[in-house]
Amino acid sequence: MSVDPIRDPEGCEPSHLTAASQLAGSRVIEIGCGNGRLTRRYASLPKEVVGVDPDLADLRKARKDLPVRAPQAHLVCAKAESLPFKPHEFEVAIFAWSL
Amino acid sequence: MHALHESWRVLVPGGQLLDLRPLSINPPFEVIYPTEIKVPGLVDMSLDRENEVAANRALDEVVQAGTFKIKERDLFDFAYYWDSVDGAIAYVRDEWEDSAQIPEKLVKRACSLPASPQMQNRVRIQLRLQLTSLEKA
Repeated sequence: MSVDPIRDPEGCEPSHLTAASQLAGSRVIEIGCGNGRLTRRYASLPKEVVGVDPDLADLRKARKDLPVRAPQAHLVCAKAESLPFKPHEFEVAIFAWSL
Repeated sequence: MHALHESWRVLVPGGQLLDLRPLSINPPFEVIYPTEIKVPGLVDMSLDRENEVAANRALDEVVQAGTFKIKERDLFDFAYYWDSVDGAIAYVRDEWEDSAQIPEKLVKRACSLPASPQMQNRVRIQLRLQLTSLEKA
């Protein structure tokens, strides 16, 4: 079994993401959030974050690793092609390594 | 394509869509020493090119249809670090099997490099990431 690497210790990914968008105070949906690897790095900023993924095992891991200071973060098991939300619910939609 | 349409539906008018993903550019396999970096070869990312083309096509279609417009594009590096050459090779072979390959020539060259046991994070692969910001029209 291979050993997990250290990923992006410089924090380039979250810093470029936050520079490119107004996450603070927004309602954000991350489509294909997987195990929440990126979600947890910005989850404390928005007014609301919804991570969506069809893989329940990944979502369980994401739930475990979400920071406690991000009670506004929610996880939903759904497919990207059929999102269980009303129109116009979010200001920002993110596809991170999932398009 | 349907996923992009769904994102359009749930976004407010003028809402922002962010597409963040690695490009299938072959990155150097870097072995880091205190005073230099040796590159025994490039990791072959060509297996992922088909997915990249499909994703680009899907984005092009929604832009041409007028549902989104591209506002900004940004490129940056995303680094992976391993403690050893063997660890890096094993990880790429096990975890990136659908998107990357380590050429045998690279393996031979990397394994013949002198060890540097006092170093941590001594192998690095940096993927080039593209972040595209689009606005819902």
